[in-house]
Amino acid sequence: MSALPNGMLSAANEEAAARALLEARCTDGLPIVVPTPERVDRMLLYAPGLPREASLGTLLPMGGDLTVEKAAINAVMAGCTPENFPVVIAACEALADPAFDAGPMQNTTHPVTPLIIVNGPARELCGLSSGVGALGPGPAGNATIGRAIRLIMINVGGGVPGIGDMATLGSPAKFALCLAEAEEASPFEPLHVSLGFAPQDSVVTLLQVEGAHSMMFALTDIGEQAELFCRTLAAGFANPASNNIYTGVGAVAAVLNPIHAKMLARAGWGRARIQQRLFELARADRATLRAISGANTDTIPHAADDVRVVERPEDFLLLVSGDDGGAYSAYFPTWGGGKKGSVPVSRKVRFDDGCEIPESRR
Amino acid sequence: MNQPLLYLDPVAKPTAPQEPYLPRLVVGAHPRIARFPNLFTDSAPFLADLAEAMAPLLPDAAFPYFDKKFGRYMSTPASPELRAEMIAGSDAVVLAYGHCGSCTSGVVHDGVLLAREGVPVAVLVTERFREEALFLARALGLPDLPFVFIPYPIAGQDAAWQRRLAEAIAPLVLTALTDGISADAVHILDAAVAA
Repeated sequence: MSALPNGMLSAANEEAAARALLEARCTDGLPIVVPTPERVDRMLLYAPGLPREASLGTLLPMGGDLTVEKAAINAVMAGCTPENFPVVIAACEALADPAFDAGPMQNTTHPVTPLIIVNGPARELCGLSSGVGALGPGPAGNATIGRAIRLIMINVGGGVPGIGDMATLGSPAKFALCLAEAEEASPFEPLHVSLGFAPQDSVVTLLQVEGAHSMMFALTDIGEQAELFCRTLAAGFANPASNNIYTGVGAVAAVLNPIHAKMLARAGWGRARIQQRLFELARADRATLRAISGANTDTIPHAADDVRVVERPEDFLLLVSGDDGGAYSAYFPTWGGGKKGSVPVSRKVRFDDGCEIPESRR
Repeated sequence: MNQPLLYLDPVAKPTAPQEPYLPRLVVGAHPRIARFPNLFTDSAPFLADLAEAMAPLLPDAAFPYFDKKFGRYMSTPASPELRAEMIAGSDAVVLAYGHCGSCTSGVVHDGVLLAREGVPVAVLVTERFREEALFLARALGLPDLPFVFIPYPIAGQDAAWQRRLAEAIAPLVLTALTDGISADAVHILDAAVAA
């Protein structure tokens, strides 16, 4: 690459530019869209009233300045459309929030990655899907927005595999992990409302997670299904092969299939009751745990015999998404490392009102 | 002739200004060399072995111990209160060790934060995490932070082997503290066997 002033690079053609970026380890290994000035300018048209040099924060571990322009460059590379960009901006603000603790998340050998959840009108305005295949493959908005965040983590945060990102095996979830909540299909209030936002707000919530773990639960009669569903889901979270039963801090997430959510609602279980029951069930006895995994139990940061996945019922984040054509929900264990484990961080998605020229009354 | 294609650089520059590493241990009458393990497996006993090996090199030295209480905090920098305690109670700090992604991040952060307060440090990092450690030191603005790179893995290895390693690297750790010089001790025991 030939270096030019003002952050501009040059190459013989698009193919050479794409190859240069790949060789410089600026990509996720997949083909990218070369961020020409014209493409970046078009993306920036959808920045919500923000100048290109505005800083959205500093992204660890490298401590790079996450400007609106850098966000746009990486969004172009990811294949985002300009309509996706307001969601990318909101996700960047959440990512750079010190509460999200991106630095240790990037450095760890665990395959943790941000789950990006979108609520409100932005789902439709910005091209996101909450239906069949929401986590991929297929929905372009979900895939490219998730990918933009990963590229930003690489190029602004320094999360280059083997240097700033030490995940031993990595994960396909580290390419992109983004979905919208199926608010209309859900019997519960949407996630963002449960977190304190207004229903009409567009919100992006980020949570550090492992990739999706599938949970199968076949429905028969209502009966005691709600209790059995929570037992099954809790057992998933308390799996001795995942971190949470040892770390016991931070949040975890479950994406309920609409058909499972409706079953729970018909049985009279709301969000709070589900969270409480999961909290009671997602646990183990220390001795039982030690018999399974030995010295892993030495990492439990307390001496009590009762070992729990999370500290509070509300640390089970619940949302509804996916197609209701099959009995599969998904749960997301988390790393549990860093200052306080995985902390959900939410930001409103802002839209620029654009140039409104009043109509003359004269 | 075709015009070259112009495109924008996706990479940001670190915001931390690059500064030289300046702290040096001046060996006085009763030097206090703090042991600061991040509580990764065997990091605390290894530093105990290292202190035993350094004692003949520093007559009348004390080796006070500090830690962050639980291993799950190994990736989180030490609190200002703990740093203040270490600064008040020691003349230099040996940190151990970078043995995983997040614990390497923690041990480098701690080293940088102590160095910025004028404390001479030696940061032990296993070979597997050398590149990450060097990257983090640059990102945090102290590219010359003194490292002693040691073999990987060390955690879970035979205790006698760990003691031999501690004895072998003791002079290098002391040089890191007094002169601010990094050392590569990855093959130090291989060399001893070969000799």
